[in-house]
Amino acid sequence: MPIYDQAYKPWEGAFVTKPGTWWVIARTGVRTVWQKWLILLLIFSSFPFAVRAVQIYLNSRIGGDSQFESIAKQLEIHGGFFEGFLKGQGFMLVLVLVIAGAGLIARDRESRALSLYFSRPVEFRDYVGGKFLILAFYAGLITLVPALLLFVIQLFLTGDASFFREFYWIPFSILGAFAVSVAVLGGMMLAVSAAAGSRSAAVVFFAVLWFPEIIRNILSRIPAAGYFSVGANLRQILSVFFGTERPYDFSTAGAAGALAVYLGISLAVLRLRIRPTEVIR
Amino acid sequence: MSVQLEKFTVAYGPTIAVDAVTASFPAGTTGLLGPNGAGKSSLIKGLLGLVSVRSGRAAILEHDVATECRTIRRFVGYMPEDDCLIPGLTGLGLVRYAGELSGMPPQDAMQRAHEVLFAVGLGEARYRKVETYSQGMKQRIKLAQAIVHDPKLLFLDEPTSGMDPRGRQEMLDLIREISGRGAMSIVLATHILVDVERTCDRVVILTRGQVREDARIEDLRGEMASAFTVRIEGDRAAFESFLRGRGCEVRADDKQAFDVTLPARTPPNTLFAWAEEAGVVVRKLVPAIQTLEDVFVKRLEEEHRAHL
Repeated sequence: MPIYDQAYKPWEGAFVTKPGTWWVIARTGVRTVWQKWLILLLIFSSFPFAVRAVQIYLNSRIGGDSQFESIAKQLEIHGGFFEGFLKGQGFMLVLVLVIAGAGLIARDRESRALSLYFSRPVEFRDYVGGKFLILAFYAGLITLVPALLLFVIQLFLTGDASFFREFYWIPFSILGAFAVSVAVLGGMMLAVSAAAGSRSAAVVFFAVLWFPEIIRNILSRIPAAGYFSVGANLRQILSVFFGTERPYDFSTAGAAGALAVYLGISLAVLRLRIRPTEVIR
Repeated sequence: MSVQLEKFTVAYGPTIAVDAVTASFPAGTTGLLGPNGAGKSSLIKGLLGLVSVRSGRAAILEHDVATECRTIRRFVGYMPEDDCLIPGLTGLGLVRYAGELSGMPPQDAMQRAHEVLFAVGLGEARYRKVETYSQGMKQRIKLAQAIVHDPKLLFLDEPTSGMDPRGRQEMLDLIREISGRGAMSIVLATHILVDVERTCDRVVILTRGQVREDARIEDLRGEMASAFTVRIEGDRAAFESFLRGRGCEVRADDKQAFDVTLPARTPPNTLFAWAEEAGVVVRKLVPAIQTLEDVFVKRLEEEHRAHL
């Protein structure tokens, strides 16, 4: 019997089917995407969180003091506070999605690695689901996690159950707003990554987001023009989640429909572009 | 049977790549041989569900390709012809990832990735990013990712493509070793005949999407043994006609000599008896077909003539 044998040996283990290949893709992707730029961005995007945390602290200290009534009014914590935080993180969210997502599918396509995935027990939904979770993870780090953390800090500093009784719905709203924003923006980023090259995906994504926004601003007197803007539709839906005043005149149901259309188009592009093998005719 | 095909057709729009192929690949190592564009890669991709199948049926390891594709992919390894490596991953990371995608538990995948990388000769380079690998190393890592989960059936698509002679020899040795060690069957698609001769028990020759030959290498060698190059002294035209009358196949490409394929189970010394009978003298008698390449070329010529 050899002491050390480097030749091929059969494997005698057993395959596992849970939790699924989407989890493997997501886990490996999160590790691979982790890079210096993204870390810097994550650190930078934590500043608004720090400011909001200070606001919560100050509110807890001077909230009941009649001397500072006008300031306390401005520092008040309610649904709008969390909506404002998430809206403020919007630009950072887009940057994180671009840095993490531009090459996610494009690089697999460019290196013809899709056949490596699809020759294994990986379906379209596993592949796209896994890639989407990578984006959701990083997006969550700058939106969902700090927003929930702010809610917990507020609860902790209030010291009684009155805030929770009044605003128990806020964590659900944060979750809902996060899910809608990431589903739409993440889906679009993946679609752009699948349709464009890894170098051009970022530019295309910015163009897809901001060109309609410019059009909406030009046609500001026509409320329906807002349906073309992903940002405007998202802001309209976010106001529903947090029970605040609608920022635009167009219908909320219409905004939801427009977002569903964006998501549908993204899925259609992904379906079209993610093929295990390129057929050259 | 490892693979069974019944009127299996793969088409890209109006272009038929695999044309109603009916064949079966038994356990062992089968060479899928054919010129570029013969449909070898399309056949493999069709079997793995990577391209859509126009019509017909196929089964891999008794599992229907149309309905049990996911199950099949767990037990099958595939080394594609293209580079298809995921940039940003190390060699170890890639092979481990491939193992996990096949359904291996993470710890097993990691341990196995180390083992397999050593087995293919990339042990020292396993922590390097795959995009820094040379062409030969890329071929090796492609093999490693295909065998990490110890598949029951391994599809190798042009495994020696772009390799230098030494690397090619090592790759073929590796394929032989893998097929010899485990219970793994191998389908080797290539246009390089020597690769098939050195590694396979069986060969399926594919041209224009159709099977032209499906035989054991040993049987083909038998066919080789019955073909000779003959030079005579005397009336050559009369002797050629005499041989054709005895059921021989005669090809006269040379002014000096001509090739004769004897009917099955005819010993070579019969030629001397026939020469005496025809009144000519045999001056030279040597085996005409030396390699599988000649059989392959012969099939291609037949195919070409059939399409003229």
